[in-house]
Amino acid sequence: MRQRWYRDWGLTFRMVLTSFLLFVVYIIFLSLLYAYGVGFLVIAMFAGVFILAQFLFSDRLVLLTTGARIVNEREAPELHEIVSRLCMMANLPKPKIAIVDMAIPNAFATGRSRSKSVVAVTTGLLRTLNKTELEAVIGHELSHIKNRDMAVLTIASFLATIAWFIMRFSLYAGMWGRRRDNSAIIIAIISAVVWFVSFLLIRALSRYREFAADRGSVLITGNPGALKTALLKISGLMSRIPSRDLREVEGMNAFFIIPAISGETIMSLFSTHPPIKKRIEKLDELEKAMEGL
Amino acid sequence: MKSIRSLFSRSKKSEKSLLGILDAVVDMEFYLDLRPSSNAGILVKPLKTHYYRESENIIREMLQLIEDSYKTRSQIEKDSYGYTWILMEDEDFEDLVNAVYMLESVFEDHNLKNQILVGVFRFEGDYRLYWIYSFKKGKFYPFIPEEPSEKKRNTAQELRVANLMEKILPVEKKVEEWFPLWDIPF
Repeated sequence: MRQRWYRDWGLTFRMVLTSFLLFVVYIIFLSLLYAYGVGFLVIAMFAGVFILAQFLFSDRLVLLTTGARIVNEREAPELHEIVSRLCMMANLPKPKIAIVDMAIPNAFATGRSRSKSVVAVTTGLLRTLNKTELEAVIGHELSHIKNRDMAVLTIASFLATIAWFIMRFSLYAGMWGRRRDNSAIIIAIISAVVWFVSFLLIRALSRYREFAADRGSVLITGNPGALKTALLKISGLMSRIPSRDLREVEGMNAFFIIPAISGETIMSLFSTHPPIKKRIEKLDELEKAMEGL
Repeated sequence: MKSIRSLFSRSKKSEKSLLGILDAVVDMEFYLDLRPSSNAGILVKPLKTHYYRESENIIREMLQLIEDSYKTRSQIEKDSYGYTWILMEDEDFEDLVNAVYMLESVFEDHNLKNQILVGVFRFEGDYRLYWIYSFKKGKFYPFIPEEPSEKKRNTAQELRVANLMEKILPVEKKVEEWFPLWDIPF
């Protein structure tokens, strides 16, 4: 369980694959136990142990899969200074800080509790953003820690797993009572549906936590504009504001018969993820609300 | 002021959009600490036709009329792109905006609507902000030059200003149309 700053598909794929495989291994194992006639209570205990292990070690797993390196104060003094200051404002214990050597600007927080957290940023993020924008991004990650999002989402997936199991067990019991032949297929389908629905619910919950973390960042830094420009820079939207002089562009339009490609078309060709747009809209509203508009 | 303005037949839509800058003044000062300056300018793309040169004389006459009536001083300058700036100065911001408005009408009435590109209003505070008004689109966009020699602008602040003012001012939503003017002569 971890929170990412911005969805980039390489990293997302690795993380989703990791957690998916973990989940598959875990389901197969528990199903095997059941098939060999192990009682419900024992299986529930195993499930509990699995969840606990995931809760305890997922942060290290995330750091391993992303190649994040914990840095001390000597290695990254400015980053440490920013995190310390923001933690003081957010009333949080200072987390460990990690850097991922990756050109794509990104950041994430991980860790099961407030005192055992890690905030990681990519080298691309450090290069892309200025100091106030970096503060806004770190404020967002600290808000995830403050809101205990990692724990919340772990518990949510635990509840989803329990729901899945109850469904399976009650179906098994029901089917076997009536001795149906195609019961296994039906059980598999219903289990899959339960799993899928809970997966969607967890995604929705996680999206909601993103918005909450954006708000949290603004509360800590008091600067919705910085978070907005950070998002715009990370997503590449910022570079859409031109630096070419109007008169040059006007001249071109007069010269060519076909007018220069319009902004709308460029936007749809390189359309960005809607979540970023939604988040910026919410930040725009927040910025206005803070000014009493 | 009303009497002269009523001479110019204008569509309701464009009338509203340019004069919106007058409604924005209070909020610009209240929320952003930016006050209107006494300078404004109109960027014109001249034509090399006899008709255009004749029209230019009418425009000069109009500028003189405005100066006589409202004490809005003006001058015409050429820039390095071969464009023409009509520069206007008036301590009364309302008169300044109305002067720009009246000139737009003159251009429109002489079928030179395509030659008049943008109207530019300067605001001052801790930094300098230009509201650039596209006559064609009837929309404003902010421009905050930081280091014109390096073509650097403060996009972060521009986005903030645009967001805060969008309810009062018709702001251009497509940021890729926020074309800068690197050597505004005022």
